[in-house]
Amino acid sequence: VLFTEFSFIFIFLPITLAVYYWLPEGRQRLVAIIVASIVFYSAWNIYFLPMLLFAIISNYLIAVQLHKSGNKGWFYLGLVVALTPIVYFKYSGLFIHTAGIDIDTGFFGEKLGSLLPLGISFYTFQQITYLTDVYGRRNEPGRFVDYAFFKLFFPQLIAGPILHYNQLVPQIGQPVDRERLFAEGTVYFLIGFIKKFFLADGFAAYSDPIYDGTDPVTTQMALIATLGYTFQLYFDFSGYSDMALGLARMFGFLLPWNFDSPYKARSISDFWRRWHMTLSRFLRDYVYIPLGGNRYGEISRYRNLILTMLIGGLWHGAAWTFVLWGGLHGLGLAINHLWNRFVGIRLFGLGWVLTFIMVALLWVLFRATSFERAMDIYRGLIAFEPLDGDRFWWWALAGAAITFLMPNSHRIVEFVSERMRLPAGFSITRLAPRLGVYAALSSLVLYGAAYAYYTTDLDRVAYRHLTAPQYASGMDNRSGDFRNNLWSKQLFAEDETRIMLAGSSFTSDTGNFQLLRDEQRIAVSDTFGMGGNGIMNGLRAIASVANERQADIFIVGISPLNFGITVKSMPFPGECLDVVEPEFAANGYEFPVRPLGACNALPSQPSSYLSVLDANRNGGVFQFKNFIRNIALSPTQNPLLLKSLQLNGLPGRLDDIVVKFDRMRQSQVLIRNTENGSDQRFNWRSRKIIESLSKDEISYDALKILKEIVRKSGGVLVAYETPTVAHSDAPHIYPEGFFEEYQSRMTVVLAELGIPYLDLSRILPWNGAAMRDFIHPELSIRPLIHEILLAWIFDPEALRQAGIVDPAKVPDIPGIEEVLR
Amino acid sequence: MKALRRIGEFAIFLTVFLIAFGLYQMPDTPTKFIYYNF
Repeated sequence: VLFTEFSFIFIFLPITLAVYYWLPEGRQRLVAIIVASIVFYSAWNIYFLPMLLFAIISNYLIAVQLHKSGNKGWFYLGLVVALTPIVYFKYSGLFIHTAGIDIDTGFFGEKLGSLLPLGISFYTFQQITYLTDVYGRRNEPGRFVDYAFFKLFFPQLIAGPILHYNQLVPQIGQPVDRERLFAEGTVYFLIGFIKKFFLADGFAAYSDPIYDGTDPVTTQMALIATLGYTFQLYFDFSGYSDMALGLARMFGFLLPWNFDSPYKARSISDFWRRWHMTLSRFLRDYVYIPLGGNRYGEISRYRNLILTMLIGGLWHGAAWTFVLWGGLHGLGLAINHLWNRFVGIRLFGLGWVLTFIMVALLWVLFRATSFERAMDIYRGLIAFEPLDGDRFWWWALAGAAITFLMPNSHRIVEFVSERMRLPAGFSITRLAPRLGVYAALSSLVLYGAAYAYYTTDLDRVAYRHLTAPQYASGMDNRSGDFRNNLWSKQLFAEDETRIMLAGSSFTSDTGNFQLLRDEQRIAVSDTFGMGGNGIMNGLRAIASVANERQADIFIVGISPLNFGITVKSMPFPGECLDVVEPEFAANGYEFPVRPLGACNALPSQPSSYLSVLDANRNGGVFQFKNFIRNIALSPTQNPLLLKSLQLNGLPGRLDDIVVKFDRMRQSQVLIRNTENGSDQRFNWRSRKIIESLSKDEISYDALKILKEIVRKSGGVLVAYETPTVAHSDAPHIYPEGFFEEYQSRMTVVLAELGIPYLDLSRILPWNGAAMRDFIHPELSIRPLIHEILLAWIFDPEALRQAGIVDPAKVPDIPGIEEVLR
Repeated sequence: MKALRRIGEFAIFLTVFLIAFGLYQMPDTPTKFIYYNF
């Protein structure tokens, strides 16, 4: 859960506050916070919860033994136990990748080093501070409940500030002005929210494409990248810290500051006193001083500074760019000290300018995903080309004004707090429980609306008339087939030619559109669910439609991602179970069921409605959210892109597509949402994709079963290869030769099974680096793919002549004429 | 009177809640935290 998410602000927080203040003061409140924090952590990924709990319990038990015996051995054991997980998850990948080896973690075919338990970097440090403080007799191990609270207290659990036991636990049970703290906390939270949600993400929109692209970098771009990220990172991280401080205050606790206007710093050491202050202190106390600090003369002092910052750099991320970034900061600190010692002239304004420039320049290294890209940006900066007008400069001006001139959040909170007069009789212990009840009731209203939507015909009506307003936007849902419930309903009118399209999210959107061909109405019901979740999702959807004989033509989009070991892991919840199970049994398969998050998110299970509350996350009840969004957008809604398509004019439209593709080839498409680059995390080989496509293997049989289900329904099944990248376009995604091998295998399999196969894999102007992912909202690719597919079905000759794909590779579709009547 | 005030409070909360929910559905809402595509 992120602090900016809807479900956090409007549900988790008020309910937690309510329970907290409803309980009498004392241990119960701590337990309430601990439970809430565990829920908070698990909401991200419950699989890592046992690890967190193990870390907490082992750390505590060792600290107790350490305190009892005073034996240094316990201390070292504690360090090893605390550090092992972070070394395994965060750093092993770095060294293994550097050595050029990929190791399968056993988790969903992910590579070692690509899975990182949430907050591990922070809670590991907290474990070390605790152990050291117990060892140094700065505090007792304390009660377990206090200790668990210190470790788990959710405002600081995943991104700091890094706390000492003594900074938090002594505050338990202290009399404080809760009402004032609560009001201050709200102000803090609001400031943090604005920083993170509006400012940080606003800057990211400018700088991300430059860091993630491969374009040559002009001076203008380099400046945007450098300044944009400098402000983005500050607003992001300090905003997050403000929110953490605010949340803690809402519960009556003070957390240490983490930022104190760092961009106003007048020297590098001043900067590190103001930036991520709790980390700087940690590094000083637990790395720099144990290394010897400044006790052994000047030379060792500078060595220790640089070493400390190297380690600090590595802590920020497991990549050599971070190490270099830390090392250079260490060097800066050393020069800073040397200057003070031997020159000693105070620079005033110049010191501030130099510090800001150095910090900003080094952020480039921090942000860039490779040395090469960082160098591109540095080269751009020193090319000194003339600059153009750009809206970014206004953003930069605003960022500069805020960070250089404005008082920081602590001063603002202080200022407000001094002048604030709370209303008489205002009591947080009375208000919080009410807010919690309101939040719970409001959630019920929303839950009820979602439930009503899915259990009445409203979803069908909305689906037919209100979906797919913009094919080009909002594609952030990649969960399971959220329309499972719809497939058992009559989606098409009786007199339509009924086409079901189950593509990957790259080429499909949710929606239903109608077209005309020779006065015959054609309806296409589009879904995704074939994507990263494996072919079983699409199979399930098709199975339930075919079983009810609801469609005539089934088009499935496939890609390598659909196949391999994930096929085995796909469960079939809901009504299509009875369709698919016998088919699998007939092929000698035990029914393959293994719980996997994505597929549990089905509206047919009441529990999954809960995800409707989590608006910012991929959820199973996406259709309902889409519905809400369409209502919100309705005044400006675009007309359906394909609604007016007259298929009779198809050849001309295909010419347009050729032009559009050409235009795409010439333009650099920059993708903002680079977090979607998950495909590069897959260990393609270990998924055994190609092997599983051999006869009598699971993926082969899944396709065979799909064909069989459709044949029984009297429909026609065709497949197309989803536009995809190959090694030559995107070596960071596919191993060499993988895609070609997959494709030739797939061609043979589908020919054997008698499923016509249209290869659209190479249709796009891939630029592997700029298009790091399969999901590219800006490309507006979906309507083009739809038109090509419809052309294949209704007028293959026109498609052959259009020259979009190799004419020899546009197969005829046997039996299509009968289906089309 | 007190009950009326509570109902009023809830109405305000629900309104803010629903508007915020709607706003979070807008296409440009930042969605920085994305699950891995398992």
